[in-house]
Amino acid sequence: MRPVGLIVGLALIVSVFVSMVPQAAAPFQTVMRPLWHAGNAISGFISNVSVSLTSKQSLQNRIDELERRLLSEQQSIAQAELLKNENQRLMELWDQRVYENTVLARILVRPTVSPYDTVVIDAGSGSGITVDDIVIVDNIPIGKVTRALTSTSMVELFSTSGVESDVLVGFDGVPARAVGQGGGTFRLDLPRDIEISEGDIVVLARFPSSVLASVEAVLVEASDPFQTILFKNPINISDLDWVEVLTQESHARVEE
Amino acid sequence: MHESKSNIAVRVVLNALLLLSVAWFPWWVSLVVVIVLVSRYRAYEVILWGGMIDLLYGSTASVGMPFLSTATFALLLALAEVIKPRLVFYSK
Repeated sequence: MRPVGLIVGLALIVSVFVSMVPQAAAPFQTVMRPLWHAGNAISGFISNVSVSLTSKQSLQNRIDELERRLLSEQQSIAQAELLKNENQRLMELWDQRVYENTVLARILVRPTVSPYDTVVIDAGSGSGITVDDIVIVDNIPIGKVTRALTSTSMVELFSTSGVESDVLVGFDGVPARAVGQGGGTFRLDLPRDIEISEGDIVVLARFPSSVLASVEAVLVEASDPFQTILFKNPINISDLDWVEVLTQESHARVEE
Repeated sequence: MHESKSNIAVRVVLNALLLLSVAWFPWWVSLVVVIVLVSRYRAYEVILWGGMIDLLYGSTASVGMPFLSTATFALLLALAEVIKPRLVFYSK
């Protein structure tokens, strides 16, 4: 047992120091990139082949399931459309141009593969991406870049469990700190005397021209001086193949 | 301890499966493969796999520790080495 304990202890100490080196992940990502691309290609091929090999009854069941999903997605689309219109209104209010010089990036690794609810995209510092760049889908922010290697970047979702983000809530833009709950959902606590309603818009404090989410539920208990606000980003990262990254150059243009 | 060729082959296959699961499959598949590895072998390489997962996907936000997978796999290895000799059907 002693040699095992010694090796385990040494490995943990080494991992602490290695994790502090920003480029330590680069050689591993170089190895994994072809696998990630191959995985995306294989899953696409399998889904195409599986359609032709299934029985008529299976296809009918699949159609029924897709129709149910379509109905659910239509509701999500309606909400996203609402947020998009609100986005447009805010941008016109702030007299800002549509974002230029965004970097389009393909998603290599989705949150289900990563044990930390992170996303890996196939664009990095070589494309002008830097740490803290905002990642958007349809002008809705979903996360920020936390590591930018030459040809890949790691994105931490704002809704990742435990991630805290400064937001502005409602028409009055009440500042608050939202905590990610995972799965695109957030929660924050505000004094109960602040009026917040379902459907109120939530924006990131550092990115006020784009809507992050809309309030889905306001939970108030009689004995609690605070109210709990729950809201959800309408973007389902699991269904996405592409995202856009707002580079520092895009930020500079937006702030002009 | 001399491992037979078949044992080595199985270990290589499990490690290859672990590589694919880190790249393609949900994280819990990697965890299952690691458990199989440490229960069958004194698989020190799982610590390297944990380090790789942390470097590739690690974020301090959700768990507050940048080397969670490394620590978890190392702990599984240590636990396996403690438990295995105490099992009746364990053969050295």
